[in-house]
Amino acid sequence: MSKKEEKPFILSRPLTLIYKLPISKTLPFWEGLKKGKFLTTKCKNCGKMTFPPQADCPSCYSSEVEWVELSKEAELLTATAIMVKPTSFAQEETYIVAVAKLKEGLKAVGWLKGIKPDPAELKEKIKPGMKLKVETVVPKEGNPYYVFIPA
Amino acid sequence: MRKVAVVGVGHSKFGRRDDVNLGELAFESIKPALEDAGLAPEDIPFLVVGNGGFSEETLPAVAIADYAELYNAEMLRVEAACASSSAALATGYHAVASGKVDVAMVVGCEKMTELDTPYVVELIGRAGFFFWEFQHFGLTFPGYYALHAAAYLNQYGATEEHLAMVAVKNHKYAATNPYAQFRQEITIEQALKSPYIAWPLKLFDCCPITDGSATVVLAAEEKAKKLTDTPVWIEAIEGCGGSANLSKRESFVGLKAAQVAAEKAFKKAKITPNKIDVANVHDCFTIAELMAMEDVGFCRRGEAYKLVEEGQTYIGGKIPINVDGGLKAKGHPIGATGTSMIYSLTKQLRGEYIKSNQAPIKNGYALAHNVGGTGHYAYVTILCRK
Repeated sequence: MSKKEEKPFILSRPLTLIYKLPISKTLPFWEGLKKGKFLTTKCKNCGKMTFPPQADCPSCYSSEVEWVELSKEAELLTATAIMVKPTSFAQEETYIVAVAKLKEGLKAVGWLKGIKPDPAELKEKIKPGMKLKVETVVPKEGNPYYVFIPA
Repeated sequence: MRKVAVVGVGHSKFGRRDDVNLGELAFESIKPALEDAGLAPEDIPFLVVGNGGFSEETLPAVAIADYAELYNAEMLRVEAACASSSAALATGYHAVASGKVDVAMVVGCEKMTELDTPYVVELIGRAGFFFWEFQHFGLTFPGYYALHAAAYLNQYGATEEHLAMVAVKNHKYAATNPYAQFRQEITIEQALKSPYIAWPLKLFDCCPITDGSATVVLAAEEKAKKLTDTPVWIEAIEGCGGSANLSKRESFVGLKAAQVAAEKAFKKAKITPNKIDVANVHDCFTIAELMAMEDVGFCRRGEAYKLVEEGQTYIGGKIPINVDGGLKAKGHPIGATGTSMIYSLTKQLRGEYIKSNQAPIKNGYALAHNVGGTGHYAYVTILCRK
């Protein structure tokens, strides 16, 4: 892992890409977050609920889905703390990403707040079954999102 | 379907290859592969390039074919994330097995270090379930495997020390592999003291960012027998897709796609896992090697760390694994990893691998397990020298 001297190079022309990500079909989810609600889709044909929400049922392929409110109760399945961050998250403090099982049986991925992302504390506290609740967050700038916090 | 053999292999030096561009890097494995097969560029009617898309070249197959003037070939580029060149190998295999062509070339090539590390972390993180997991929560590729590591350690009582043991073994074998990125052995203590990247995974649990290429030449049975006395047969190459969306996963202690691919491959090859003499598995992170051993069927669920603790995955053990250094220490140039595995295993089955890294070949079978993403794609290939 010795540091070798960099070889000669020419810098490419710079390219900044910012994509427009369509949310028409999941708009009620994002609008719901602004009102403190945690919503998802349920198929009117077969009854399957999905998370994240999707406009077409992946089980019976019906496109007749309705929006339902989730309970915000969850338990931890697994988690990690991101110490080495991607460029676009470089300004964030170390964050914990968790996979949780919602009371309704669905799984969801999101930030886990309220636990110090320190290895010793993580080792002690990150145990499957830990009770969590979902909180909606509406930042002053940027998009609304949700987090898990210990219940 | 016709029988298909590997008749030529070539490999570049892996590492931070800022001395070459994509075409030049591919050439370093294309030339020796053609020489090994005894073929000329104009003898290649079908070219498949496995590439994950990390360099400035938006049409990597074109850049590579142009540089090596492989102008007689029908060509395409195949993407299956870190399993791109196994998917490319499957494509080449089918072109030959179906009778479309007698010979095919499969080039795995990736240039990752043209971008600075934080950008590579960004791009690979985005290559998961982008909108719901990256856009809002910044999940990285080490993070994806760290979620599985935390679940595995919690469920089976394995420790971070077991993960370090995998790294120590793979560094040991990379130290004697001239193509490997890391040529130094490490100790358990060094690995355990390294900084966390995504808890519970540390720096020494992670594969590096790598440039590299590896090329495989395939031929149909009749042609293969004319070209070489040591054909290595593809007994099976099977793949399966899996959920990128973590919220749709049943479990975090194994990768379903790899389990299905392995089951299909063993069924096709009509053998059981205990017949495999040597294996390369997708150890992009140390936890991935443990899960792979269980997903392939070398041991039962939750028992891989015990085999590692007993040293059974070293040469001389029950099942030598990643004795070329693995992704962990040989390096992991995304689109070149699948063909790099086939390079090592072909040399192993021919009995002509690096002396210190040569595994005993008793049954004549080797296995490559190549995963894209965190089990978003999986390919299992079984090779046989008989």
